[in-house]
Amino acid sequence: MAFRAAEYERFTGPRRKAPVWWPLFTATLRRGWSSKWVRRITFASMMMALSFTAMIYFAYQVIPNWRDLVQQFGGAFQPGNEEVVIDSHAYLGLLRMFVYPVLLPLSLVFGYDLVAADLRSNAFESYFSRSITPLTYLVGRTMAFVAFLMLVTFVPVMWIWTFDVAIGPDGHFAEVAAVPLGMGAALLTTAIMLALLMQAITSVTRSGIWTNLTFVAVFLFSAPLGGTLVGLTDNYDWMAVNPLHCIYVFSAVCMGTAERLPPGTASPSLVLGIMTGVILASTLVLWRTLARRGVVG
Amino acid sequence: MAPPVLELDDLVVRYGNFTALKGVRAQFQGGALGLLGPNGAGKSSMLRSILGLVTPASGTVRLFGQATDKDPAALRRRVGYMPERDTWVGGMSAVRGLAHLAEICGFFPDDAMLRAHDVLHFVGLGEERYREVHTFSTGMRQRFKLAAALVHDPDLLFLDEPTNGLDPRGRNRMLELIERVCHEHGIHLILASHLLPDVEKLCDQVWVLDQGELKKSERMETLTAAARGAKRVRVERAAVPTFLAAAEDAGFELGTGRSDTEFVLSRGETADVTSEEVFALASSSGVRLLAVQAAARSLEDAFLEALTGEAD
Repeated sequence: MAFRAAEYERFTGPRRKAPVWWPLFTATLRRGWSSKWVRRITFASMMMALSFTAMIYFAYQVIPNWRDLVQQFGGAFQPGNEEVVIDSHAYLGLLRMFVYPVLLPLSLVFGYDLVAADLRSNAFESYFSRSITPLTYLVGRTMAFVAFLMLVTFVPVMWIWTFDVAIGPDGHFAEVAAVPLGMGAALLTTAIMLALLMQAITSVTRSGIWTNLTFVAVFLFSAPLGGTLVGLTDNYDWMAVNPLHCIYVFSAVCMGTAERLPPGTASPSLVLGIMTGVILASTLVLWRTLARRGVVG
Repeated sequence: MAPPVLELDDLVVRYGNFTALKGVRAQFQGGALGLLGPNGAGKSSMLRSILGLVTPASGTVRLFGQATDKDPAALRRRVGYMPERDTWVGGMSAVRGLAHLAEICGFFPDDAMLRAHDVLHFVGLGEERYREVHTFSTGMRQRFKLAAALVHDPDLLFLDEPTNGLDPRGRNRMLELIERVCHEHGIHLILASHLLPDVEKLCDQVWVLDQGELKKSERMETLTAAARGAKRVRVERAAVPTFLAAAEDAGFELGTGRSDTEFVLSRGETADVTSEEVFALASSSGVRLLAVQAAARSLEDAFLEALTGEAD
């Protein structure tokens, strides 16, 4: 573009019919991807999946009956279980592997400044005086956030699952058939909860640093708090104050293996209630912020 | 015949018990409209109604002949709004931010980016387009906001205090840009400003709002022509009743001045009042004149008259 005349011109080109939230969705993805930490975590997640599949492959090459050995001797590490079965329930461990080191840090670096930046730059005035409404804003931002979280967790897990099914013995597919749907539902709900929670916190703090501190504090202190409360009351439902525990129990419910959860876990119905509550409360906080601070004129 | 650009029909806007707009009825056929009024007059409520962001308690707002509560999102694509407060999309360069806003208004990504470049060149920010907006000076931010209002090529521009915080050179440049867009490209303008010379320079029609009511809706030439050829006369306080009676008897139209001993003598819009006529009136009534001067009424006079309810 060598030269552009500094004259105003009317636009005569075509206009598209894409939904209003679509530009927000793509802009949020672009913005997230521009962070080097987001790229690093994404890369680490993909590497984890590749390493895991490579490990399974080499295990087959070196010890062809490794699966039987794990099933026979793995029970020694699990009191009460005589035998470890590599089925849908075993994938809960894999889910933990992606939730703790991938999903949580990614939520932090992707969403820590999402709404806060718009509040600070008064972007709502620009958005709401155009075709964007508070609802489309919420949909656009949250869908991008959730899509990214799913891409970085669900896709690698499915890669591992596909590999496991492909090289597993006959009948193994039936044992892990519940994984795609169950894992998808668990990760999707978890991603929605984290995306909304993160945005709600950032809309209240209006600061990236305070959002990160609040988020870390919630996940860091809730585990010892839950343990302490269980110790004081002897009621394992107190474990549900820990969001990670809720995610774990909820995932087991999604995979249809809730009855095989070890003793000392909160009741699934309570966990379901808490996760629904977090999603609704976060949405409410966000909605109030958008309605209050998005005033035009 | 094209419908009016903006039509308010008995518009009432309420926030709880507070009535922000009290049955405003007005039409803007097109061109450039100045929206005047003190703080709290109802300008923002009117704007929010126009953008379809508040639902009127009663009455209707029609933009380009369409009720704004029917499809507000589609109508908003035809309106470019430049708010008084600084606003931009954080974490993006100026050009990327503008392209994003254009995409929201239905532009394809390539068109949006090209358009963002063009509009930034037009407002004089071509060299700064890859900077983030938070690094801009006040004048640059004002120009960026104008670019943001123009990027989706609206049919109606709503500018709220566009020259706020600008130095005289920047102000002239901004007014010139607005004038070019509106006069050369047929984009309608609604300008809300406390700076009456800006309104006088750009607008051909004025609405004066106060306490939620439309006090005056006139064409600019009517407002300023009303006192053409009139004389501003000041007399001694004791002679005021005598002078008023004599002036009325002689068929002059009387307007209020800036104090209770000052009056504006006129003969409507057709005939001028000469100094000789004023001296003759003073002589015949035995009143001593303290001052006689041409009463060139500015927009400020009209505005103040409208607010104090002493117009016409």
